[in-house]
Amino acid sequence: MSEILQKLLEAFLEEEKVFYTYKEEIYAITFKKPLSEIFGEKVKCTFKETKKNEKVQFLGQGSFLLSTIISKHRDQKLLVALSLKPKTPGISAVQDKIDELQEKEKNGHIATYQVKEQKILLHFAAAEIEISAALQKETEFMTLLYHEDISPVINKEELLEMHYERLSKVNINVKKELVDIRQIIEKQLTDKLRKKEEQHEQFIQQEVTLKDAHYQQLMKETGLHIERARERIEEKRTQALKSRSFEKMYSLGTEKKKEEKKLKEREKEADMEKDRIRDELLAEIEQIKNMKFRSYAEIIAIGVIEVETFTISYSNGKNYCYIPELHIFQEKKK
Amino acid sequence: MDFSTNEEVFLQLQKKKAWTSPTSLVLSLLAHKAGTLENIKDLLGEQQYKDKIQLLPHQKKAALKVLNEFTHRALLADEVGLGKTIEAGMILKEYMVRRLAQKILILTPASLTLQWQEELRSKFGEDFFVATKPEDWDQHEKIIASIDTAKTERNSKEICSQVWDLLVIDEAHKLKNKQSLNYKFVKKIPKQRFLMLTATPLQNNIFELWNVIDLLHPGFLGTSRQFKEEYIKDKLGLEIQQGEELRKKLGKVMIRTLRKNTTISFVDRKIETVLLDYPTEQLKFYQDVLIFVKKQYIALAKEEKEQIEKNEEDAEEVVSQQELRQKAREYQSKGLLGFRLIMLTRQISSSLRTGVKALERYAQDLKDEAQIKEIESLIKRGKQFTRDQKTEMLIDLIKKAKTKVIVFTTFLESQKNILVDLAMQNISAISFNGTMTLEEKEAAIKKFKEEVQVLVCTDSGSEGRNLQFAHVIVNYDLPWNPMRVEQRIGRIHRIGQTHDVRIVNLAFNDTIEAYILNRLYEKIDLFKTAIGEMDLILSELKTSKSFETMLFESFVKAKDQEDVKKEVEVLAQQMQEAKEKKEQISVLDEKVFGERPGGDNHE
Repeated sequence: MSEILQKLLEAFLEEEKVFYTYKEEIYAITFKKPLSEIFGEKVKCTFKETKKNEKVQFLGQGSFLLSTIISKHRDQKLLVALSLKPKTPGISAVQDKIDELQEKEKNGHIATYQVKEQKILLHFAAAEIEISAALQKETEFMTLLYHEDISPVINKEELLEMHYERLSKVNINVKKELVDIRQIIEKQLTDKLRKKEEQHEQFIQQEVTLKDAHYQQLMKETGLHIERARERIEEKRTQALKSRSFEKMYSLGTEKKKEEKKLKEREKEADMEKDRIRDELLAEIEQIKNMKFRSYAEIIAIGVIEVETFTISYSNGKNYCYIPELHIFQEKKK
Repeated sequence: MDFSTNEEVFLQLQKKKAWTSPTSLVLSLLAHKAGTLENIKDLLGEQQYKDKIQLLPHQKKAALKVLNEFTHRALLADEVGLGKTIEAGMILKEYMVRRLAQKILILTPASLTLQWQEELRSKFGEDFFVATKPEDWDQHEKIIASIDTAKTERNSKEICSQVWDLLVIDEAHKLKNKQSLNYKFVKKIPKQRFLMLTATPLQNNIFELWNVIDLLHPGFLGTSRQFKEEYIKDKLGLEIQQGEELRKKLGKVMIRTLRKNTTISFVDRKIETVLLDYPTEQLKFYQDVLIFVKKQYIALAKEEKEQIEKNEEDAEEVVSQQELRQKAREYQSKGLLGFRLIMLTRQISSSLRTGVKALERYAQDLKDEAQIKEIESLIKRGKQFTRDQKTEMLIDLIKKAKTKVIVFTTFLESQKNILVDLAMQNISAISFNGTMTLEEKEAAIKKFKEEVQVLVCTDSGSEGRNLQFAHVIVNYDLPWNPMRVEQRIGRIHRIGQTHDVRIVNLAFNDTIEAYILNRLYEKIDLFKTAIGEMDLILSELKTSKSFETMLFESFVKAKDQEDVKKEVEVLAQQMQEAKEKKEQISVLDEKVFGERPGGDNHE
């Protein structure tokens, strides 16, 4: 985490041509206008929490300096046409790869090979993906490299380490690129989204079940005292029938009538209570169902990156594409 | 999946040949990567507030627990003084940083709306709007409101017509009654996430706890019948069974950290009361002013009674809007006059010099010749007193203290006088009050911390400020509201204070302040009451009037000094009973929670 933040700070300082020194894990930065107006002229900061003190500010996720840099650069949309400057000669890496592969013919003999070196334009895209589910919202950043010869490559960390140069002449069909990118992202995320959506639905279902059971129980309990009142009426009726004197029968009959009157009132109350419970349940369920599952992608960069590739063609018919700088090695599409 | 392809933007960039530079690409990739990294073990918002708040381990744990383990509903029920509002702020901030909540509604008792607004602004850098009108709910995303304002028909309609990403209810114990309008209102607010805060989840019996939890998470504890059968032994709801299981269950929706279970050590309070004697003439003057106030109040009350009777007679008449407005203005001015009389009494108790100034202002509104004559004579007498023993004592105390001292007074006039007197004695002091801007306040606190010995502070200026680098407080005058006393002490007697706190109260014998000190505050051990507990005690007092008004009325009702003492005694008795009730609740609390649900287990 702090490694990325550290790279970000250094890249920013270089981009803005800001003078800084880095000694004993502390950055001493001298900002000039207009940046000094935002951050102050002299700033001392560190990524090591143990090194922070009154004069040295700690740089972590959310710190003012980093937040400002992040929000500034997260807002930009980029049209990319760059070439990757190789750090080391690729051919020696290819030789290592060939030694490692040990491709053979069907008869078990070592297959012969030919290596073709060429520069190709890889299509590049970057997008922010947001997945909102009932309990969480995930935001992830995705980079994408694709080309007709290879399967799409997702999130190549190496892209952050590379040295790039501007390409002089490039022609990009923006509309087509965007259509392709959209299709690839959707395909790449299908499984993940399905899984997340299932979890989301499962949670909603659990919540709805819990609420439903709870309100059913409430309904049942609301009816309980009516049941009891009915039982009491029945009891009075039986007692009246069994009574030995007319007086007793008469008094039990009166009590029964009173109970019946009470029962009617209670039934009315219970009906109202049940309506209230039903309304509450519906409101609760609506609230739960308001938690919608949503996935959203915003494309923030498109373009091309020129890379040095090696095609290794074997006598057994297999063809590989190797891009040593990015550690991409794939069997070439037919 | 929804897409934003930014096609137009890219086409424009292409048209302008605005190709990105190599470093811009790297910067953008890193910025996106850093901006979307989310480690659930970290509070992403912490950097934005950690320098402003002294975060405690239990607060961070509570926030992380709610965020990670609780399913979008939680009851924060830490004991008083452990920083529940901070925990709520941390959770709220995290939801915002993680973009989980944009539309937020915080409902509090009316007296706490501004305090919440200030805390969220000063500690978490979040500006919340205090809403009162129907149009406010739709126009603002982050809202604080008094629950009583929110539940009115015209407001509740608006509130319930939208889904809130997060609903926060402070003082949730006030929603213990299922039949109350507040309970029903909160229940029907559409919300995605729900936080409730209370220091006293139990106030009378365990059924109240069920009510609160059932509002938070309907069905979580079963129906009230099931809850009774499973967990309650007696009809009164004071005995529990299957305690362990109940605690385990509560631990899934509730955080309750007790003081004894934290590593925080609370220092002692050392209280000194210095009672001075007025010289005879000054005492006579003081008493005469009080007699004048009494007469004024009685006249005002009589006039009000007559007016009410007249209005009742006129009730059948049709009155115009203009007349209604006029009547409203009259009522308002009467209320203000009553309030000014309370203030006048308090000002004369603060210092005679402050009292004389208040008399001068009061005189400006008098129309009755006799009254004007009386007040003018009082003013003339009052102006003769140049010596102020209270300030002399204060100066002596400060010189002997040889450390930083915070002098509290309620009034700006007293503050001004104290500052002048201190300056004449070459004691470095700085003023701090509610009329200052935020920047001026910050500068004053800095100066007090680094340079000057004394901070002369008014109550309204000091709210919410942490001044625990000092440990001596002098109450130059005494608030009539015990909550204010606690707020004053709370500026220095708080988490982070390492010295014992010294509190010196200055008052004159045979004055209202002396009665309050001796009879009222000492009886309930106010100065020793733990942080936050006074609020709970006061909430037990069943009265619609403010504490100041209750005291003032006791005083005006009294025929003589003895009677004043008796009246104050009655109030003290009520507070004593409230305190005892609070102590009973603690026993019940211990029975139900024992070990804290959701909290740590270290001692």
